[in-house]
Amino acid sequence: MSDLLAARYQMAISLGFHIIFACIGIAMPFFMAVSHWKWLKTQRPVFLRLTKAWSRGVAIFFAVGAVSGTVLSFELGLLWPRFMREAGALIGMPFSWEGTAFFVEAIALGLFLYGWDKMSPWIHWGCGLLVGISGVISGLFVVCANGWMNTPVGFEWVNGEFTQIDPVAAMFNPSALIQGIHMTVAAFQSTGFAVAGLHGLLLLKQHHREFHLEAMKIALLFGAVAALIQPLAGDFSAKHVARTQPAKLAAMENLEHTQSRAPLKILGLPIPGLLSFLAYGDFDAEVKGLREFEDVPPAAVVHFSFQVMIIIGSLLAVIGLASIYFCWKKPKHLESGVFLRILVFCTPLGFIATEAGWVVTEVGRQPWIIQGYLKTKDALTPMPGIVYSFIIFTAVYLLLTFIVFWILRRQIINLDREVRADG
Amino acid sequence: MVDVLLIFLGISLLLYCLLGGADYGAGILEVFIGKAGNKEQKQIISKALGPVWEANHIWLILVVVILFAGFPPIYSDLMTALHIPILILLLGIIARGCAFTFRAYDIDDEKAYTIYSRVFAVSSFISPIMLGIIAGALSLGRISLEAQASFYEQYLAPWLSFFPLSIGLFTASLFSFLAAVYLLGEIDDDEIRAQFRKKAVWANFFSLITGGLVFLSAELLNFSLLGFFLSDPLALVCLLLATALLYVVWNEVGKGRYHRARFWVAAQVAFILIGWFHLQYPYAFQTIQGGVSFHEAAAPPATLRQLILALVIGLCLVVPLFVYLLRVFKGSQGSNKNYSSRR
Repeated sequence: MSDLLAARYQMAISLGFHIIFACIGIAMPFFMAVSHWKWLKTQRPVFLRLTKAWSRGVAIFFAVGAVSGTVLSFELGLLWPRFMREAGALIGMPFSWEGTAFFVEAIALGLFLYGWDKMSPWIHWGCGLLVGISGVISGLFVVCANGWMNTPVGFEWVNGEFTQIDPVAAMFNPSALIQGIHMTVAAFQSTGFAVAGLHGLLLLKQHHREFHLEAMKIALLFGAVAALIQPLAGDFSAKHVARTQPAKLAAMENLEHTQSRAPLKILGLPIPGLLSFLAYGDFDAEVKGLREFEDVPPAAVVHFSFQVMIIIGSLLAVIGLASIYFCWKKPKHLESGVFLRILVFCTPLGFIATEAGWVVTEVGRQPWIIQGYLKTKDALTPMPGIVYSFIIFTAVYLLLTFIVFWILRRQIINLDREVRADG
Repeated sequence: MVDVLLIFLGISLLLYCLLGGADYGAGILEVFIGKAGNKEQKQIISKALGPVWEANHIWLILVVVILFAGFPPIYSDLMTALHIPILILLLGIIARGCAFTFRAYDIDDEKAYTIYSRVFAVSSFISPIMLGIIAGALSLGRISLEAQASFYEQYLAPWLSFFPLSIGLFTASLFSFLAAVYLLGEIDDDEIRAQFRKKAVWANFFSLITGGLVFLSAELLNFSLLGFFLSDPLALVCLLLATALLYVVWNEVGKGRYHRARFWVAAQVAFILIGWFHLQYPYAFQTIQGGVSFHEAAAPPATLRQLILALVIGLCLVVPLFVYLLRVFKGSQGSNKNYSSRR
């Protein structure tokens, strides 16, 4: 394996691992805050138990997310020193704000987790909410930096160097907000469906109906609303990509030749004109094909990932709509075996779609690390033998994934025992 | 403006050593917790570290962010030349961050607890050694930026020698001394406190030995560290104050004034770091070809301005929150007893 490939895989593994923990760290505190709020308002013990159970999960996911995020801040330099040398002054801004947001998040988490008996109840509740708010903000800042790699602005390009650097313009690059919204909604969508699916599974097993039903409802509502917003956010993203990164768009649809009335293939079934419509809002618009570009991303991977993302996105939107209807009008249906089984099936789907979406963004930008300015291969570290660090990190992250699942399982079994002991 | 940013960099690094360093030190102390009273002592450490754990860690992220946003070439060169020790540091950070949290939040299980503790202790030992090795490599001047140099010259020689290793051991000893003194103030039980006091004595002993080793190894490598400290007034004052404060710390401990002892031991570490900053300034690191200065490597003024603005606003948000966190968990305990009855 070449050093370049090893470095790209290592980056992909590290980001792919971190993103799941980051999503949970963003969304979960809000679920927790709702449950906590209900406990403070209703004093029903089920909500206290739920808040505490979820907070244990948040603590574990936050810790793993924090260390994997720290690793990333170093890995950018360990693997892509040339990129950081050129871009550091331009993308440092969002990272420095992200640092602040993350700091607030960590302090608020410390206060929330250990402050049960030490603060007034509503301030304590506010600390929990602050964890979520600062989590969302820090996520947005990180995505700003990624957006800059897709649509670099805020400089003059003179003799192969970035000059006249304007870090503020770089931070508020055209992709920043669009990508940020798409990602934040994805965090709520994937975490919502994952948590709802997990509690759905336990409901199916007839464990502590009240506890798991309340938990499922909270998570499902977040996930469902996000799933309904997501097609819109995704549509904005696609139109934006069409404008700014036409090669990526062509790869997303694996479109070889330029054509008007370009079809969108869903599961291999072409729907005429739909791609033109999605990209430009006009069924007859011309979409550029891969042949038009000198540098093209590996289209098969991007196309496949894009398909996975939109299929899951559509599916979750439909289920989301049904969920909201059931919560509102037919609460009994929420507990039906069929619906619960569908939710269990959906447990990993949001995360799969999120990962697929990142593959589209990142692989779709190749061979560029900074679109149009710096190629990934030129950013690579001169240090040889990256394949070894790739193997080490893969092993570490696989082991961590296994341990986290194992601990989660033990938590659930333990919770069951606890509830039973309380009667 | 570069110097303003350097002050932020210095403060972040100092706070990382004083807060995060103590977290490392507590992990190292766990290596030396005997079989008797095993879990009790570990729980004191867990309880003391838990609320501040994540926050302490973020000072390191701040250091990294200031480096890569404010001084991109320096960040880029260091991540290349010191790739290997940084990689080991990262593995240590992953292992201890996860093990500590898993230990706190996994269900009660003796066997798992032992494994988490062992991983936490060992990785807490390795990480500060790596931090020290990295710091030593910055001063030693064996970093080579020549692309034609051999693998050994580029990636191993900068840090793989007696001097950086001595700094690594010194860092680990100092952090455990810091942790032992900090923890004295968290303990109510006299017997356990006596045990931690014994650990503090040992940590102090090792700090002195490894500190001597640092100077000795420097001389062996023809790097005149002692000469620098003796010839430069500020450096000499820092060195003497850091040593003299040992007496003050033990005096306060002897009188049972643990909170004051905490302050003085922190001051001691601060003086050591200030001495080191002074030794380094204005260079970020020394190479075979000469020093790389912060001023030459700084990002354009527009970036520095924005970075300083972000840091000032950030600190205005973070510092009061952090003080509040400390007051809630470390201040006079039980000021809010009325609420605890509600559970």
